[in-house]
Amino acid sequence: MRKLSPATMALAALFTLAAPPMLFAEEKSGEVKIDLPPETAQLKPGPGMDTASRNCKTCHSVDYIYMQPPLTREQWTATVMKMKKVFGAPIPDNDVAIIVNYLVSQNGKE
Amino acid sequence: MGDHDDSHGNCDALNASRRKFLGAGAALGGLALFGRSAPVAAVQKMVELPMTNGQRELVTYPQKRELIRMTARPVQLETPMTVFNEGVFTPNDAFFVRWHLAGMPSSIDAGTFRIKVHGRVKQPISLSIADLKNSFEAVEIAAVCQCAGNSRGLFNPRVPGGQWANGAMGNALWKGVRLRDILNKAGIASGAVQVRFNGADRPVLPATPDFIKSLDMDMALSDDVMVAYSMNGASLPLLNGYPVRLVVPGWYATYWVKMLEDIEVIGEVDENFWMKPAYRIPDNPCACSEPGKKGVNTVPINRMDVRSFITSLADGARLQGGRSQEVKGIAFDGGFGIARVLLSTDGGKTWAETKLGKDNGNYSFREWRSEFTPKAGKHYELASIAVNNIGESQRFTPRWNPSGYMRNAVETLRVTGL
Repeated sequence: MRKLSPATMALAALFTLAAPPMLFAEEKSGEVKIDLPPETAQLKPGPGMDTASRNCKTCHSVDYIYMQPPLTREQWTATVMKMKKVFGAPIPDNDVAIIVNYLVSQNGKE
Repeated sequence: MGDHDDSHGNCDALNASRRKFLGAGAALGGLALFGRSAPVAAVQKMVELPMTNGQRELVTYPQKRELIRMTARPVQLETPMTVFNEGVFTPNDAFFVRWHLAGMPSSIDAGTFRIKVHGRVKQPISLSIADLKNSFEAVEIAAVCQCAGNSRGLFNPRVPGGQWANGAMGNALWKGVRLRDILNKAGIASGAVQVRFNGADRPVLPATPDFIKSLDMDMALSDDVMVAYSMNGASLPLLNGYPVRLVVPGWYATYWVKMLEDIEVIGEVDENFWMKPAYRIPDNPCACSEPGKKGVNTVPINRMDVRSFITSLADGARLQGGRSQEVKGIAFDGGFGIARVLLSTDGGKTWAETKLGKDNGNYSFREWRSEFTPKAGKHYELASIAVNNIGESQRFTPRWNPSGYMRNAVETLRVTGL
């Protein structure tokens, strides 16, 4: 984590007050429409990142990966196979090992 | 989200003092003073939940105040523990959010919304929100909505899944219509076994099981299960299921289907993915298992167990010595009601009765209060334990099961007298 200078902090705080997020909820005669704030979590570079990106992000944001406790190779394999077999993600057989390797490198344990 | 110190286990309250600004958006913050581009990413505020990989963003969603974002898509937001100290009812804009499928509608027109009632009924019907409000008796009930996996992140050993701390719960005053009255309007036909509920959310891929939940007939026809169109006197926030959600007082939130648009009476026990194998607990009195144990019989998760939390103090708080300090919190169970809450200041060696607050019904949070006088230089381990009206109490030894459901251990927080 970087340390911020007091001036930057003050600037950031000022901005927060001055410009509320451009999100809105519209309510008129029972009609409600919301805009969802953007995703911020991103996959971190590593072998297999593109394969993981192509397969995982169709259905969910990648904070699903990084919030997990570090998981074993067996647990990550079970997770990828659950996505493929139970949730019907069209993950090519050849990609499974690549994705598992990437997940273990990102958030794995022995 | 990267490496950081392991701060396992001991804290259960979110410490507001841990809030910090991270560097990611600082440069943008300066730029944005001159233009209106990318305002949302300008400042990333973070909190750290007491678990490995517990860093979370604080994000403000529409109709919501700043909440702890667990995931962005599908959206899952956790309520900071400080909110539960504000009052016994959780404000709508602070109520936790949990969607299973990213195909959640971001707009709903309550004027054209319909709830279909069909299946093993004598006469299928289609109800508008106006029909619910005008053609049925309105009922109100205060009830806690708690995620089955609330506190999963505190399991040891850890288990995969949504890594909540203790904030995937909330208490609201729900207003709506008895499910029983709706079913009776359609008329239950012979051979009815369960009632199946589907909301307007859809999976991204057609191959993904749609989120559907079912209740046995006796539960579906019980007094308190309702279709709610109002929450704490206002419409439900869209993220909490606008315009109507099922409310199953005493039972875990997995059954509280949001944006409820389809009620089907079925002639068999539902075995769709979200009923089996998802949301199941070991079929034993403790709902316990052991890591690696296979072949455990399971049943659908159902009634909530008894819990309590200290809400007026955060873990690690420093208190002025020699001065009486109020300790306040909440307790709840699965509908029998809270009989007693006891407080310990010595890590559970001795306990003292606390004073219970107003009774808002057996399904509601129940406030409790006590006080103690810390001495300067001394450390205290504060813990509360609730007992319900049938004598069930919280566990001292946390249960473990592979899905991380139903944590109700006595939670401890540490404070120091100054």
